[in-house]
Amino acid sequence: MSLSELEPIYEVPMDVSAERQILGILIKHPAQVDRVVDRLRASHFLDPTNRRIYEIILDLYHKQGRISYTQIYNRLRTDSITDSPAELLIPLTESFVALSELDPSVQTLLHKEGIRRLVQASDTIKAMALDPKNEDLQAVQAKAQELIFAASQSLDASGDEVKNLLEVLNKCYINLLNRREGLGDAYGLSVRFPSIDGMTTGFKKKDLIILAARPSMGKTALALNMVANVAKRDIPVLIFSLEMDDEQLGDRIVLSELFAHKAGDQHVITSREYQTKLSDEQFLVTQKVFSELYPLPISIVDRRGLTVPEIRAKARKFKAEHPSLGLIVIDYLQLIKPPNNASRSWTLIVGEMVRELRDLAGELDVPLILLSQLNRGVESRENKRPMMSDLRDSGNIEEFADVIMFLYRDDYYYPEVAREKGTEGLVEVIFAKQRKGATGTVQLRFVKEYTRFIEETTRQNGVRP
Amino acid sequence: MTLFGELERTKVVFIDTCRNLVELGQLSKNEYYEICDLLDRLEEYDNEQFKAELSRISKGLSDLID
Repeated sequence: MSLSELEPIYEVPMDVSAERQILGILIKHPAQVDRVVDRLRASHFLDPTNRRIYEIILDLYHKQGRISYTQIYNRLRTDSITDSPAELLIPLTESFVALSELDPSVQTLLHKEGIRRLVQASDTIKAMALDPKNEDLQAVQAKAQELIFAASQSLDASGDEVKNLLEVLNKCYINLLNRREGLGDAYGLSVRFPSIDGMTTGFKKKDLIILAARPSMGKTALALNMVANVAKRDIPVLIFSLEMDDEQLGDRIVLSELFAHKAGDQHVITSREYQTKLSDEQFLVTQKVFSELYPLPISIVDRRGLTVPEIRAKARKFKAEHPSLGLIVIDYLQLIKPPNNASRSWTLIVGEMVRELRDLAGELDVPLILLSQLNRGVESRENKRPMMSDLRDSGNIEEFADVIMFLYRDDYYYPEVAREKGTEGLVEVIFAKQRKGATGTVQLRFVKEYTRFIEETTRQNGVRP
Repeated sequence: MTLFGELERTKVVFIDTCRNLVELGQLSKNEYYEICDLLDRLEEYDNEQFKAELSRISKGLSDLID
């Protein structure tokens, strides 16, 4: 049996009666156009005549003209839509119902439109999937997810666009109460590094957080430490690792957790031992760490050369399957495959990619940490602490990011001096930008052998929020 | 049908008739648009005022209604 023989026969979801009811009510109560104009587009009306009449109503409304059967009659004639407008309008006068029917009828049309969009998306996906020219399965899958997501998002999407102050203040007040009661992540997503949480009051949903540094400063390690801390509270995290594979990441997470296992002052297992051979006792400790890590809701996509649309598609799918997704991490920006567009400058292309990732954070309502490498320009300066201007070659990152964090280690550049001063492993986390908070610097200690960051009590130039 | 529906239906039929009269040359376009405006503001007139206004626009049409 061919696929075409399996073709389901369905009627296009529509409700002509609801369409007429809406038109009848709007002509009788023109002031009600205000209530529907941002929710109903002409395309919500499937009957061509009803759609045209709705377009006329909207046009009269926008031109502040009178909305009446007479005016619509004349427009139907002058626009040569029909020679006998009366035949179209008389049934409308008969379908008039109470004003209270307006909202239910609008909801009916929105519902039907939503179903139609899903059907249309699935038809497109089917055609795309069966097209022999589409050989790249992953590209087809990414596009399919995008289509389904877009179709799902279209339902009454405009409903959230305009919010009155009461609505906004209600949400602020609930957050205020939660903060007062210490409930949930009222402060945003805590990464369980008190100095970082103190600066940010937690990473906020929809925010794009840039974590940038020169290579080997510990970007991935810090991101993974934060991921583990978040996941330990049973909050799902999605990592896009474009550099390291899943096993490398897994080993890093295990190693970082092994740091906490000590016998006296000594670590039970060194990094070298973990990577070579363990004694029976060490193996038991490691097994325990594995058991603790198994249930953590951390998911990893480790495919290299992902594009932003592919990242978006995978993240949307993950969000659909895990609605409580709490954090996305992308390691790292410069490894994302840019779109093929030779005519545009690298700066513009990267800027566009960053903007799309910020939009993704907004769309999925999660904080998104985007790791980024800094170019060598940093090292040509005497003071090698990264600055905002170091991001300028990488598109408009500074414009799109909500938070920009730089990592700086003195011992990376001046190991001898650091040894003498006892500042080995000391990492400055520089908050160069915070749209919703103060800028400043906090310190962590980086235990490189275990790829583990630990809290450093001293604070330099930090501004406590 | 509701009273409003009945009234609107009557208006549509009436305006359709007027339009046909325009095409037959019995009514000018200006008169036609004045009648449209009159119908749109129907609630501002009582019965007598409406007849008087219609008569002012087109005596023949007013006679037809009577």
